[in-house]
Amino acid sequence: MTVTATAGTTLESTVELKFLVTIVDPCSRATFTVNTLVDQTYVLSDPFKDYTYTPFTVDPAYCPVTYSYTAVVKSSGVAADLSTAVTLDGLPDTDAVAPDDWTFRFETANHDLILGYEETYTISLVATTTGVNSNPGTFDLLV
Amino acid sequence: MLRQLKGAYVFPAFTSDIAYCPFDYTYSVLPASPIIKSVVVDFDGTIDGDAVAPDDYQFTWFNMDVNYAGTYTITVTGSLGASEQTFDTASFELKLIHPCEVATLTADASIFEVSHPRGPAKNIAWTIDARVTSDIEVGVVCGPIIVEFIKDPDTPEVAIDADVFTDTRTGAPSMSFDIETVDFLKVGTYPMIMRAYYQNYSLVVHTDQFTVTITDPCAPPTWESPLPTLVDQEYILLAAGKTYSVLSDFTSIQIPSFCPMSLDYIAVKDGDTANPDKFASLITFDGTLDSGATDGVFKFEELVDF
Repeated sequence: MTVTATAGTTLESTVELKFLVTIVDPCSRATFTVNTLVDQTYVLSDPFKDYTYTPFTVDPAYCPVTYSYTAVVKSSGVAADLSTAVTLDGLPDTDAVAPDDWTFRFETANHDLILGYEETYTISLVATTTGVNSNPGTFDLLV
Repeated sequence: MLRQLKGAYVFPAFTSDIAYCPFDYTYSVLPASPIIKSVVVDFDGTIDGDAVAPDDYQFTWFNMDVNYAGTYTITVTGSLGASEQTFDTASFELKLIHPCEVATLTADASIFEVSHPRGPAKNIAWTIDARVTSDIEVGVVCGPIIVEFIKDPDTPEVAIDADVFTDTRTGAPSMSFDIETVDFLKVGTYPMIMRAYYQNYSLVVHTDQFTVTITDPCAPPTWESPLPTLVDQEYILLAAGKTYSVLSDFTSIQIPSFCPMSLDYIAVKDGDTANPDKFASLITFDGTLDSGATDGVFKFEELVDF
């Protein structure tokens, strides 16, 4: 911003002073309240299983939020790629594509996901708005 | 003139139809008081060619006492014959002048010849003794000298502009000629006259002209360095309106501070210098400095689409 002062009577003089104004998107400073997620069990033989979580609370509430997840093998902490088995609709857009908004769908017949009879993964769910991430909410997925 | 060199007057001799008869001259003075005969005035009416002053037929006058000042009628009587029954008279006026009546005063108003900006006050200290001199000799008291300031060259005389000038005499003999105005309309030149005269001899007067020039420091004003730094601001959209005043930043650097001033602004978003804008839907600003509460205040308030 450039502010100009003009002063004088029959002759005038001017002086300029500048300052910076930053207009801040309030969503860039949003805060989240992470809701408790519920551990899930999925049997490989099942066609699929949906888990609809309670969306995290964001302040300001009007900030658009998307969700993403990461997974690790609970016993080892090693990152796991569950992209072929887990589908998340983390974009709350009420689209017609399954699964529903805020819903995980577990669906696979890939036995490689388990070493023995079962495997437990820890899934971390993160909400994001305008570059701000929430703390992760976690739940266990027993496959 | 009293207290000056001796004055002399040789009156023309009387004549008679018998040329060889000598006249004997006497004189009288009116008014009789104060007595100046033989005190101030000497006269040799005996036509004897003696060496004693004054000469024959001659009146002389001299005295250091100014109290003899006045106009006197001196009547000379010329008599013939031993009985002095035959005589004639002739008169003349002798004016013994008080030195103060012909004194010369010299007024010097040069210290009042100033150029001064409107706004601050200027007080010119002066005394009559320093500004007015007289050629009157020490020991002769002519009474008070009066000094007046009048507007020049108006006729009839007009007093100096009291809105600008104050002739302060309260501290006499130390006095002050005060100049002060903030009024823009008073900018200009003011020719004036300082007139000095003896209170008791008002014809002994002297004037000296001087001119005071009131300049306008606002044409244009200057700005004090270094310039202040404005404080960067941050506004979170949809938050309550935020205000930021820049008024004092500008008024504090304007010299003088009373000059009329207005403020304006322009903004450039994200370096887009080709499209400066006021972003009026987000920013309001009161740049008209009319002593209002919002003078020089920016307000940033709610604009979703900024």
